[in-house]
Amino acid sequence: MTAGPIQRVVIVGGGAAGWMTAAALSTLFKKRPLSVELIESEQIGVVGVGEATLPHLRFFNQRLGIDEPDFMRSTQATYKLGIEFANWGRLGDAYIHPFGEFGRSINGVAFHHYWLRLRQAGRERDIGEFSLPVAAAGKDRFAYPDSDPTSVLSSYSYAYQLDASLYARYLRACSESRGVKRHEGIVTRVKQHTETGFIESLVLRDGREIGGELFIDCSGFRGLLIEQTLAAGYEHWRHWLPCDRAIAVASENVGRIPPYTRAVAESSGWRWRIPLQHRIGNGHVYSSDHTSDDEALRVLLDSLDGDAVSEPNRLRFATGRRKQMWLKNCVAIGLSAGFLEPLESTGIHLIQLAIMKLVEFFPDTDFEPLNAVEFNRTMRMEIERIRDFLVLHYTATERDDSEFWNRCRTLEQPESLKRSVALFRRFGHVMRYAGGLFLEPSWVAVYLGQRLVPLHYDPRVDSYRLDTLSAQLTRLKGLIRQAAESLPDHAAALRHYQRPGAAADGWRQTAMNLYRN
Amino acid sequence: MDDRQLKSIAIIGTGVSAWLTAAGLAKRLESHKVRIDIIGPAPENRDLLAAAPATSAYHREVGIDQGEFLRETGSAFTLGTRYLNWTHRGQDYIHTYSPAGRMRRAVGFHHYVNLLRLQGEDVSFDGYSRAACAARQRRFGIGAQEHRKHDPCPLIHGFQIDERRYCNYLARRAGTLGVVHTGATVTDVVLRPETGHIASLRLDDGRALEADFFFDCGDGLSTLLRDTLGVGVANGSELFPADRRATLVMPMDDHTPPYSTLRRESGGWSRTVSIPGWRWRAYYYSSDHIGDAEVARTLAGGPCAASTDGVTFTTLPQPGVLAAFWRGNCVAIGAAAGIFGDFSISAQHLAQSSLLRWLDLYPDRSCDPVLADEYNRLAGEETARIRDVHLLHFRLADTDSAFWRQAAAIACPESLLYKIDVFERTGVLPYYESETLTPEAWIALLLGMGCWPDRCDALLNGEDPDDIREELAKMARTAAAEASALPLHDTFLRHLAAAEPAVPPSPAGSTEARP
Repeated sequence: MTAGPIQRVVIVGGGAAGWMTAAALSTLFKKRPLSVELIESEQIGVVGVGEATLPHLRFFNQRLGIDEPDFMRSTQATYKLGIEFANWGRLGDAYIHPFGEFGRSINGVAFHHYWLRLRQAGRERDIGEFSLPVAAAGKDRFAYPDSDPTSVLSSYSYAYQLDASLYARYLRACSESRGVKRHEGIVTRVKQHTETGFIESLVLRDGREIGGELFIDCSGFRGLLIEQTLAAGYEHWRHWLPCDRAIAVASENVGRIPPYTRAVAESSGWRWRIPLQHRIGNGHVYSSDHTSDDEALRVLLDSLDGDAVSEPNRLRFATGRRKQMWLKNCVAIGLSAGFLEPLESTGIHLIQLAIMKLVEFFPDTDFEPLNAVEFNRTMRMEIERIRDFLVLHYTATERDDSEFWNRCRTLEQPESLKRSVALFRRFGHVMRYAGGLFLEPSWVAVYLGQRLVPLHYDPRVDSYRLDTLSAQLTRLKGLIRQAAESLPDHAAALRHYQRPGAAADGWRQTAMNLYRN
Repeated sequence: MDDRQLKSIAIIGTGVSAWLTAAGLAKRLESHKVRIDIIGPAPENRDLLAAAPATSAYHREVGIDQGEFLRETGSAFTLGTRYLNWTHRGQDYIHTYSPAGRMRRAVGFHHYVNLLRLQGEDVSFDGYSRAACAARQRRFGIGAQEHRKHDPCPLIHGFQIDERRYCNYLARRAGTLGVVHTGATVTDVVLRPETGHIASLRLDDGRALEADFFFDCGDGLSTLLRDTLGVGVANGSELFPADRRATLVMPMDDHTPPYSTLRRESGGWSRTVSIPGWRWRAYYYSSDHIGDAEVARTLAGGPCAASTDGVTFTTLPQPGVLAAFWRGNCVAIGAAAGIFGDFSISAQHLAQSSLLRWLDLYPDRSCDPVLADEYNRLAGEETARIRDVHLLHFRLADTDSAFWRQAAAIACPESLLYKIDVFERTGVLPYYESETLTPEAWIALLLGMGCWPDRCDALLNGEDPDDIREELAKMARTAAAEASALPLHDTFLRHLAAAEPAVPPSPAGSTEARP
């Protein structure tokens, strides 16, 4: 086989994963002859009622040349400054994991060490008061971050809360205008090369046969190509993340629109609440070992602020990762590649990451095997680091009010997480890594928000007088409070930034300081 | 209240790693009332060092003013390393600290050059950068800080440093900040029976020196950690084919090159570092393959050299790496932690990054092993990655002499083989945790060693090669023209030396006017 450029890509599945892939490939490879076809069926449901995202999505959209106000209107998107976690450490607790840092390091020592000393002295209680996005979120305020790095208004980043099916629809229009061909139908047979096992074509129920060179499996949990055809294997993580089911329902939007997502711990799982412009996405993620489907639904419905406006959508899932996300000429993107519950809004991020890595390692027709090997190595590292961060939410708890929480509190953490926790528990030190999504401020937010308070702060903090530090922190707190209050209301910001002609304000280059290296 | 805090630190050694540690600790712990002692006789060294750009970052961290440093140490700049003869005789490649080039699109620059190479063109990766052009013309210039921020392709530089003057400068700074130097040697170590930590050092002047924490920054693998605290050593001699080093310092009346040179020789390799008026060369070799006399002649100017006076020979310490770098209340830094050659990354660079890591983890007097474990994990990763960089030189160099055939036979770790393999076959560089080189620096090194990928980024498929050829040609012209507009390196250094203010003057051809 002589190597040449791949000319036909076939995507199976048309949710957010499928259409993000189609849109990206058709945009980025527009200069070469590459046909992108996508097979989806209106009979197969799309997972996702409301979906919260991470700031990185802005870069994805930007690379695809998507206009922010247009995108926000089309997906009913709102701005997101972070996630509020309620009832995780203890019943009654709440904290926000923001897209931003807490305070600023002083003389080379991270801010939280100073805060810990003042907390120990009884002078400070909530580290969230030192985060601009936390303060703004608490008052339902939003504005784009300031590009002046000396301003406290530059100390955060933002993402979106959007309707994932509308996002898929939006990207479908964008893809189709860039030449992507959509096939309505259900795949009933997969034809493989008799010797190599490479996928050659897909046969649809009505007899149509769609051939290709590279196949992208966006078929969701079942992994039509990667698992049902190629048997790539699956590594289960339920012993670390016990939830295995979810119910989602949309409800009427009543009252204010907070610029943050909520994740409320329940007795056998947790609930999400994602405010969009037109309605609220709600869901309940739970462990079927600990509660019944009916009870889980009741908990969800009881929690709604307004009337339900959709039928409950029930999902079963197996948390874990596909052992090989790329195997032969098939790349799994989205739920077919692995599943992590949406606790930290990582679903769309992992899709985006896989797409960008696929573009980087885009193969020729000889399918050099090392493309897949390195793609799989890096994707595995990313998903495992996110997994550890999610497991932390369940294990950093004092809750003992249900069997579910007893299990979570006492489960054996992954070795990598144990090391991280030990370092923080003893000395307030956050373990460092270069490749991985969540950085120091995120770990600090969850540790402290869930009562994992270090035994010791950095000893250098003791060299300063308590009163001096206290005064300094009080000043900073006031500055942040004032700055947050100066921002417009979230609803007003949504109207303002989406008015016709607002595009010029839109893609402001704002500091992604949370995700710097 | 402050019972937990370290009250005293003792540093053993007086080489550059030791003084970097002393000056760094003294500044960073200035407000914490820590007594810092440094112990050891003044060393006899006349080496010149090629220090990577991270040195500037380190200087900032520890409050060293760049202008003052340059004036007081008489250092020169370096834009990178010139590689001579590595993959074939006469090959000449500059591995710059600055990016080799930049395109606006989200595709790595090397893919563009590789596209032309795959079309059969004769390309060299260092032809598009202002830094490489400036280096060849022995020119150098940096604008004032405020201009540099807006420069899309700033000249990233390290320093060529006279080790002795640098040590003296760091010692003066440390002294001003209260560090006490004792010119004695350690004769014995006293441990605390309850913890096994070091309690004090007995010195040959009869005194005992107590401290809460100890830094072993000596020239050989740490005896404190090995002999006193029982840390093992992973032998590295099979990874390092040289056992001797010859050095020669020569006066130089030529322009000072703003680069150091790494040259493959028949019996090993040599490094050349220059400061105004002086050139220092060191030849690393294996006594199995070449004799001292021939090495000396090579250093002195070739086979017909009239005199080889001044060449000094040393037997290199046994290479190896400690199994743990921090145990109890003692950490080894620089050569004391590991000895494995001197290519792209020097012991002095390792000393800087080690000290910053230690300051990040900063222990209290209990010296909890949780912190030491984390330090050792990170330092172990870093060491393994640096070992990869070193071994790459042996792996990819030509094998036209017995020494280099032996070097090429060294078993490389899987991490390096995988990196080379993936890069060659996909064009993408696998990048690990705790890398010292940036991905761009790795790529430039691999390409300089003749390791080009079989393919380009798929995003370039469909681009018109003529457009790319034209764009690259224009880049090369611009780079050369911009380099020519810079002052000579020596001129720039003279201006700097004459300047009273700490801010370097804005040179001709400042970065302002660039699009």
